[in-house]
Amino acid sequence: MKPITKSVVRKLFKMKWRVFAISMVVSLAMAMFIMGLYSAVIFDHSMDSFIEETNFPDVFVALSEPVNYTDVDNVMSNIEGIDVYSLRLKLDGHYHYEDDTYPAIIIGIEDPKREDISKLLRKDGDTFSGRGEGVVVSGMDDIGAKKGEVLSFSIEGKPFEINATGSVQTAEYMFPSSVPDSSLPLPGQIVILFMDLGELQNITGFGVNDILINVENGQSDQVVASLWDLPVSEIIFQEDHPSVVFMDMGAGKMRSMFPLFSVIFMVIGMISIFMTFYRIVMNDSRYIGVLMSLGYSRLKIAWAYMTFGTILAAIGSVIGVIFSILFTMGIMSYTMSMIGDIRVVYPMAPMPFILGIIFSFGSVLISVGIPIMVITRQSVRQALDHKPKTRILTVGTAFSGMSKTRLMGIRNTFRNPARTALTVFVVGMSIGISGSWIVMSESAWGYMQDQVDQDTWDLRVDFSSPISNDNVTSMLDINGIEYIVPFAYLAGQISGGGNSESTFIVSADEILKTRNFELESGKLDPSTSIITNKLASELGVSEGDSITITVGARTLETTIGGIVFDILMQAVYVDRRTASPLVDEDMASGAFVRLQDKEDAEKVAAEYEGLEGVSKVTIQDDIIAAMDETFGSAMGMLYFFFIICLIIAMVVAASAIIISTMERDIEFATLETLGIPRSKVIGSMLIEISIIGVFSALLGLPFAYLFGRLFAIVMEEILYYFPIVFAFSAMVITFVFGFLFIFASSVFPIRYTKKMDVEKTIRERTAG
Amino acid sequence: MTLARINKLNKSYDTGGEITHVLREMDLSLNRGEMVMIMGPSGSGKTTLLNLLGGIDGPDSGVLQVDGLNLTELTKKDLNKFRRERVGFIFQFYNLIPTLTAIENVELGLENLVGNSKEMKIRAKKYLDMVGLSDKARNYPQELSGGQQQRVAIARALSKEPALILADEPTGNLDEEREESIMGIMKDLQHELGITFLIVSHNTRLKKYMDRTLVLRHGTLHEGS
Repeated sequence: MKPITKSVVRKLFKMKWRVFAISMVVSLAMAMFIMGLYSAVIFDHSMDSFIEETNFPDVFVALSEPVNYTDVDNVMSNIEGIDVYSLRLKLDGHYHYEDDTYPAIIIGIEDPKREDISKLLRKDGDTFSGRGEGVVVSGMDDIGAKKGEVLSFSIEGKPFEINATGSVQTAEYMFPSSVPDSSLPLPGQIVILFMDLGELQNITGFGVNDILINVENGQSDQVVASLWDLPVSEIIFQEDHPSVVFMDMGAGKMRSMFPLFSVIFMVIGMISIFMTFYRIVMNDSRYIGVLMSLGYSRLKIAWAYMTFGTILAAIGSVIGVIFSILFTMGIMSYTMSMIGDIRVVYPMAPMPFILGIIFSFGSVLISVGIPIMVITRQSVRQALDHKPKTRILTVGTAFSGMSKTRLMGIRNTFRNPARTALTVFVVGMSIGISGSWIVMSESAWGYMQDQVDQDTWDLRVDFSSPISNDNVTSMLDINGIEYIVPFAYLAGQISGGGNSESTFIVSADEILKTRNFELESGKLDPSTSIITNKLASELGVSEGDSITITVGARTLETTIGGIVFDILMQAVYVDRRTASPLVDEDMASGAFVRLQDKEDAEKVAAEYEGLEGVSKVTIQDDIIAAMDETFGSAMGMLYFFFIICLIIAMVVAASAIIISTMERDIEFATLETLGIPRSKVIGSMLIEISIIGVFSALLGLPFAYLFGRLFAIVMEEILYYFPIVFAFSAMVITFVFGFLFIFASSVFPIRYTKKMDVEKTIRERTAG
Repeated sequence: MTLARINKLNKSYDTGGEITHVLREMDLSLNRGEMVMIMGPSGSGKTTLLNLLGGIDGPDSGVLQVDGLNLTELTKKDLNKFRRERVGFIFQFYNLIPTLTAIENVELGLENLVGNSKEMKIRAKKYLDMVGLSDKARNYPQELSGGQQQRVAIARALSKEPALILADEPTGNLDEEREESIMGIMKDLQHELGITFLIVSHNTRLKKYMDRTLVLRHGTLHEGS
């Protein structure tokens, strides 16, 4: 190694703590970057692998009413382009456990061992082999839906018992939602039962109403076009199935959010490196001048210093790769267990790591290169004459009656205002990122609650087959009802703006009574159409644009009257007359019911559930409970990132503070020689760190809001819109935790001064 | 009456894998109220000796007693107390705290030593007056010349009125006139308060103030001329 390089490398080893602190910042930023990219790859890969393993259907077809098995089979067997299909009877029902009743989806299938389409993966026990037996989708053990239990179900008031032979996993119900047609996975407690088709047909007297299709060579469109002989109510292509959509959303979120976080952290890392390196190079200015006078070229000198950066980046990268693997494993196992407990597949994907390492090296070398360029641009004379000095700007002589060590703490904070400002800026930025998680979660949570609160109904009643509006009112009208609004609920396709999306059409004459719609643009006129903002954004349409809604073979041409905020539904709201081309104006598929006393919801729901023709009753409070559960799980993850980001903030603060402590080692040594008690020295350091902590935590608040907004924009693109609100509680949490973590970083400089060799420090620093 | 006693003291350093014996079987006795100068070539161990007597470094072996305390047996906390109450350091490069004014630097040495802040202020002012810096009391070290900083450092050590003052080239940055004045003050304090001074210097002009001059050579002390 050349002497000049040796000299720089030796310097590096002398600053081992500084190098460690900076490397930590680099490695954590890099870990975030890789975690984002790699998690997205794992998400995609795990999902693909699960879909492939289970032979996930290409097309899901729901019929508006059950049809004789043979009739459907005849139609299906004559359609070209179908590889395999499966006919099922799928009904909403209830599961009864102890004294409680839970929603259930009961699916009759012909062969539980079938593997060529929608294979059931055994999780526990065996598949069922005959009548009186069934398997449940795993995850509902706590309400008794597990292997070996005799489970009680009912469909439209008809009770029956099933012996659970085992539990299974299926890609179809990775996110079984207790909330009808929610665009978010709101789990609640819902039991999915697979049982013998013949037995279910015997119990209910129905044929089949659900078809799964795997097509040949991507012929989905042709196959779907041939289905119109059947009373089709809903067609979902594989890519639109909630399981696939949510996995895509998850992957998209990972892909966009974490690299964005990491870029901000890398900026913080770059500023930290720049601060340190600028000082090192400036202090070495005379030495650089000597080298220049000895004939070393600027390039050679710069190259030697770049070795420093390279070693720094290399250490950071090695730690970063380890961190990224650990972070990724942590987040994946947590996320997968939260959303479906599917097997996580870690593919060999070097690209995220390569990009992460390039990102890390590039950032470090740029921040190391800038100060080198500044110094080596000087002339030999300028470099030789340069005297590195510590610019000390003290703050007046106020508080001179205060203990001198405390006074030192206060003045030390401001002795180099530019550096303090930069430190507060980067630490504040780091706290801001942490806080943005809290801001985002609280905003999203608050917004979702607002959204749910907008619904004025207490119960939603769904019928197993359409009922006339007049009958709905007479059937559901019991004491204590404030309103009953019959609705028609349809699944279809919406086209507009050159795009097409799956949607739900909610048609009711008093639709505005059932919900306090929050208008984004346009007006609330159900005689045109009111569509949700997520749907409008997916289509790229705005108010006044023409749209076409297709349900089965029926079509409705209309214009968009208004766009409303809605986090849960991708829906179109219209009145009955407007929707008449799609559905008979006098027939209802369900009703929204508002009670005079909300407390009666459970009692009334139970009463409705016993009525003939009612397939499902949803209690508004159950949706709120389901959302609570979803957010409760998500909160764990959000707080995980909150803490990770705070740890990074702590490392950034420790790195900045330890630099200034090391520069002042002679002062700490002097305090020792004066016999100043250690508690006072520590007190002085804590005052300094506390001031930096308070300023940083305060600055962290606007940053938290800013980053929260930035990330919300990204979230809107990939998931859903929510407005960012900086709640007081979020401010308090961000400030308090931000301050505490920065305060905790004092352990590093305190440890440094404790271990400092006073004699050696004085000898080395005052050597004439 | 003996204030400090060194007997068969050894001190060595590991300098890049090589052991350098700085002090070898050294003996020294300092009396209360005595002013002693130690001379010797660079690297002979003068500063090391000061550091050992001040309790900021420990010997490899030997006896090291100051003011009745056996320094080798003291805990870190006790050594800190010892430095606070019984020793004053005057460093060659002053080692002032840059964020404290001249008077605050002096007061710093008096914290936890003098009863209240008023008394502390009065004493700090008195010693700054003594070294001729009362008009610079509110100046920060970087606003003072090298000589002025040296005098603040001297005031800081003297104001503690300790049993022992250890000074490393205390007049290195002072002109002759200032040197005489400072040495006069030290002499007065030596007689008035019975302070013992151990001064390391190359400056032969200081000999006239000394009760004894010793030369440190090859790790041991010899009587100087």
